[in-house]
Amino acid sequence: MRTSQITSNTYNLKNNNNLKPKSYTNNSTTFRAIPVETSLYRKFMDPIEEQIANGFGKLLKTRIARKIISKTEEYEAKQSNSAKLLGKEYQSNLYSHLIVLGSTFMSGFYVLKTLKNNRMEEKKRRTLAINQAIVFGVSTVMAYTFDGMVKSKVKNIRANFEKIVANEYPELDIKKIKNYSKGINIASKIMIFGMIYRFLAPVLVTPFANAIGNKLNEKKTLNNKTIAN
Amino acid sequence: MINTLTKNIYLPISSPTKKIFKGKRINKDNPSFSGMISPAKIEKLYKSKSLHKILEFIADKQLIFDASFALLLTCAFRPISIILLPSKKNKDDQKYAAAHSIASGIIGFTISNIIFTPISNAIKKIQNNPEKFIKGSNIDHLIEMKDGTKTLKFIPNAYMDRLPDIAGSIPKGILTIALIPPILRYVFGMGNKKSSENKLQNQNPKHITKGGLK
Repeated sequence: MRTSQITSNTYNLKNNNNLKPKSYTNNSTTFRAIPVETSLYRKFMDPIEEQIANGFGKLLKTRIARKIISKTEEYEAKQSNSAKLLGKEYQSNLYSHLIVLGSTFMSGFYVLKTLKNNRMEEKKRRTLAINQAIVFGVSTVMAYTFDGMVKSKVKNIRANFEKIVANEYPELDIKKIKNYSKGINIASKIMIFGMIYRFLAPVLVTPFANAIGNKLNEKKTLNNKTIAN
Repeated sequence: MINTLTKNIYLPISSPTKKIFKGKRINKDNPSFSGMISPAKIEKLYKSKSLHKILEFIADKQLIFDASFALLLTCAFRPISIILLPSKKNKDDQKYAAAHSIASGIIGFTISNIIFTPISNAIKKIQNNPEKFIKGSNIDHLIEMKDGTKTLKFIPNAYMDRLPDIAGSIPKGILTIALIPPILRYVFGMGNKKSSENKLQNQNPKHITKGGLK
């Protein structure tokens, strides 16, 4: 073999003891001469998913969607420029804000539903509604604080992960590696916000929220009594 | 000679600040959350294909991962904390609260799976082939990659990922509130709290006084 024919694909026995190069899949080549049969479920769901995707595409093209996206891009660019002037690296909080927005709608709905529930006494209704509102407020503050503390570590973990996987599996597409790295970011956010909203804050804050709600109820009854007298 | 001698003499200087911590020096570029996990194990974990599959599932079906994690919290962590932690409620109320948490978790997970699975697959289709679904010269959502293909920008991608959760939060809440009582009644055998209070009253009827039966 001539030296000119030696390319990067040939085996470097000095560095690599294994004769076969490492491959991400066990069979590096796949031949599909026979068409793969799709299952009944796939045959039923594929057209529905196509319609949903078309719907999303139309939604993203509407004027309101384009306005919201452009305003968000302007805001993110402003934040990033300010961070550069301060000598910091900017990391977008958009995913966190969108998770909190969904929780806001849900908690707001539960609070309104509690206040309009005629099966409960008025005092209990008020205490429960105050409880839910305080737990939501404290959860949001705790979640943002903890997310801010963990953000730089998650960023370093993602960078290390991408480096290691790219070195280990050089034939793997960069889009897939970025997708895996996106999974790390999303997992961290969902686990932090979920843990705090659904477990930590309700367990820790409920006794205090109940106490505050009871005190507010007592004040209101006292006020009503003085007005009546 | 004397000058050179005095130049080379170093008098001991007491440092004003004492070093109290003599822990491991943490490399800021490659931090580990604790010194417990060795870097070799972390590297092995990063290279494992099962981790890659899990991360791909989380990235492509984040709404379902959200529902799965919520199921774990509401069906395991929350009921255990309700029962184990001390509270003013009696045991029946604690059991009711734990059953309520489990029921809401199961309903949320089921609804999320049914509604969000096709939506997640549809979002994945758009992300794989955005030019097919987002066409138009005035549309600025696509960005060109180095290999010539076009992909969605970060911000429209983020909105598209989270929009089903935001839009579906109130309908999901309505369905959860509507479906909890039947599940408590037929799965856990618990009615409303009022019926449990009535049971307690029937067990302690009013005609039994301190002095005994009348």
